[in-house]
Amino acid sequence: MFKNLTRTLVICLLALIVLMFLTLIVMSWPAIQKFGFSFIYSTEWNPVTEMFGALPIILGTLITSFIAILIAVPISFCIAIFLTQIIPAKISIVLAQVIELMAAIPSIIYGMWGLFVFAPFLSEYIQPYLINAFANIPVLNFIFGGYSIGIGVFTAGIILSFMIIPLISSVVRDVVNAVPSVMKEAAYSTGATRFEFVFKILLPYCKHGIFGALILGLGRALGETMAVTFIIGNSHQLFEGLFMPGTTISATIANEFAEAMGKIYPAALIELSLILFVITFIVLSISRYFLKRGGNQ
Amino acid sequence: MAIGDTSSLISSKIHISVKNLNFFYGKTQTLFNVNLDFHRNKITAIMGHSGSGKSTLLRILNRIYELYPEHHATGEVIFEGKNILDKRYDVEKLRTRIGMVFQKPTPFPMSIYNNIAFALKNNQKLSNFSMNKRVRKSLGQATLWKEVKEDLKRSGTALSGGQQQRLCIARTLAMQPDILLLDEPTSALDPISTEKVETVILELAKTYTVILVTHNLRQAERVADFVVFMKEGEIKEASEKKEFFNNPQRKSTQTFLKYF
Amino acid sequence: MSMFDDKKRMRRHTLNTIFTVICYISVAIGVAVLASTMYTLFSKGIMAINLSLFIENLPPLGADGGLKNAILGSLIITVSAVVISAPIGILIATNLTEFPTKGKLGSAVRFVNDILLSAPSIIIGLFVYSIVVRALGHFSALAGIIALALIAIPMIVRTSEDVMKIIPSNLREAAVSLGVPRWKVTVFVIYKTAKAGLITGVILAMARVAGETAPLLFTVLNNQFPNYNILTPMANLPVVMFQYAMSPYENSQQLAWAAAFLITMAILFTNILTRFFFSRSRNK
Repeated sequence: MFKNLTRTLVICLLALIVLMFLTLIVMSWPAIQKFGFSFIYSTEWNPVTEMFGALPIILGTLITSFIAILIAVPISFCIAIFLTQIIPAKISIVLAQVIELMAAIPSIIYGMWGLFVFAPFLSEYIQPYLINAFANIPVLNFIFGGYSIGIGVFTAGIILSFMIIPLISSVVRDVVNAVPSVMKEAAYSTGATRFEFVFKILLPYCKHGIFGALILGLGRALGETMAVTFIIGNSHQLFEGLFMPGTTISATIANEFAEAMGKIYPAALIELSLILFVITFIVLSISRYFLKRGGNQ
Repeated sequence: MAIGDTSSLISSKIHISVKNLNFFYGKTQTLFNVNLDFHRNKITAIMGHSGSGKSTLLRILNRIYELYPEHHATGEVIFEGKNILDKRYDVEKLRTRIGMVFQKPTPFPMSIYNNIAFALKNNQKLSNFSMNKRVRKSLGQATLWKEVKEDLKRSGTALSGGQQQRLCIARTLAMQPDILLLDEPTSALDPISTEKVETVILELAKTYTVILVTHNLRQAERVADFVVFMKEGEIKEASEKKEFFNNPQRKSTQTFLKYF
Repeated sequence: MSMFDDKKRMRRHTLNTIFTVICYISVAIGVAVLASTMYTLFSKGIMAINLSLFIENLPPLGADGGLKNAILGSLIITVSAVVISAPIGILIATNLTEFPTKGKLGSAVRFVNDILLSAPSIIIGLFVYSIVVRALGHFSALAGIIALALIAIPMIVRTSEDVMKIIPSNLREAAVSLGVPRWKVTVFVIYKTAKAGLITGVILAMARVAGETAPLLFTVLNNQFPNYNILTPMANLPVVMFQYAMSPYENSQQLAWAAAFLITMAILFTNILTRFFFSRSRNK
């Protein structure tokens, strides 16, 4: 019966995610067994002695994603406000399509562009000044330290932000468009400026939806592979400065899986992906919760 | 008259009969112990305010409520000696015998011809000639034939609202059902289309049993033989039209009729 | 009092202007990034476009050659993935809209679907590696097809459900109340009504998976030689871009840019065409 066919496929979908989780656990078992929890806090990454620790990698993922969110959220928010509050509806629809096209570009293109165009640009025009500016301030000169070679944690963070800007801004746009227009009319009829309307009325009203969008962007940034792999530099050193090379979970896997020999090395890489899966799962669930709350105002 | 006695049923005055019907939406009960008989070849109008349960009752008669998992009914609906609410009853067959027309016109995304032929093809093996005849006949019964006969290939969705509704009626009539359920069939139409549809309904009663849900008192007065008044999921009053309008028994009916 | 009011009003006005300017700048940044990427793609890509791209096969790193087997490989893998994922995705969405269940099955499915939709594609690649590549003993186009299908299915479920759930329930009820079997109602009435949206969703999913690299890295990898047996590795554009762009050879990098250009143009074209065509038919 037709209904049963559709029902079976639905059950298969549910089984799929369980299967994915289980498979990753089974495949990473040799590494889990060998390292236990030390995998998470160890910094040693040595394929020869088969000792693997993921701390720099996890940290790299978190730092690049944090940078990406820091940059992307204000820009995406402002773009969404621009599209919904500043320009007339007809132009807004066209411009919104342009932003969506940005999202349609495969991430590997951003990676290539980053490597051949953006990183050299940064290394010549931006990084030297930033490094010099903080050179004599303790702590900050460590954070903003490194060489202006272009590739590195900082560049990766920025490229990531470019990738999630279309996503966050389109979700925020949807959230803002769902606000009843009476709110806007009521606010402006009291003489509020656009700035006041957006920050005193719109933002508080949409805060759940906007937060959900933010977290969704974070989820995307955490798992992004191709854009980051080209420009992060693939170094397993613990954070040495924004302008030094680093690595993320997905970049490590992409760069090293093909040549991972033996039993422990691939298992360690798959354990990395398991950690990423769990983190992403949690982040996406949080995002979903807030987006749902934002929608049911 | 015993329930199993089919010979007397065929000539009996009662076509379909509701017994001890209760209806639930999840945990909420919306119909309470409904007992009602519908007379053969007569038009019975079911009236009441919004939320009184009149559409709910109608939708039980062809078990269309089963599309929604939270809805369920207890009790019996006896049609030709059998309880149609029984799980073993062939519900697809039932729906070819008891047809329904909805409030909003719902033309299928097909040509006018195919709108009518779609369900027919499924049910009966008709030759091209017979099919054409059947389409023509049902469009004629719905008084739509003259308006569309030039181009039956036109999409059903290209018709006006009133025409679409008459197409839906033709579609249902083509199945040659025994009973017609009409759920506020004219409330989405303009007055001229309404009048056309009401004429069709009156004509139909000669061959079919019609059960009509309407909130329009004047429509019931114009068209019905029997009137049923429902309030909050209960049958408050059910009688012949003249009795109903001139001599209502219950207080709630009298209040309702004040709007007349 | 009036001087204070004026000062305050000026302050509010200034804040507002600053904010508006920031918004304009934000959009400018977005557009600038898009423009720069497109410009780079065009300038580096067009330079590398010539007839030999479509005639010759992949060369080893450092040598000259074409993209023929990679283009064909990408076509085969992408189209196959879509052919598998479209019916599955649509049928799952059908279950959600046409046959809803009383309990929490529906919300569980939507939840899982959302997770799979936004999950990093590298995880799906590793999953398929763990099962298909290990079972076969080597990389294969089949593994890549399965990986891309697993990425496409949640997308198609989402877009299909969105377009089917706005169909008025009366239409479904009208068809069912004529005694038509459910599958016919779904196919001839529901799918027909939702046709434009369903097709758009499938095409957009195809455009999206065409550019995915990470899942292919662990399932298909690459193949220098023209080989169209899906049980073996097959050349494809995304992995070519990855391997050749990272190489130190100028001509290999050029090949990578050519591949990037081709694929991006194909994707953008598909997106623009679909949105343009199908939004027009929807606004009839």
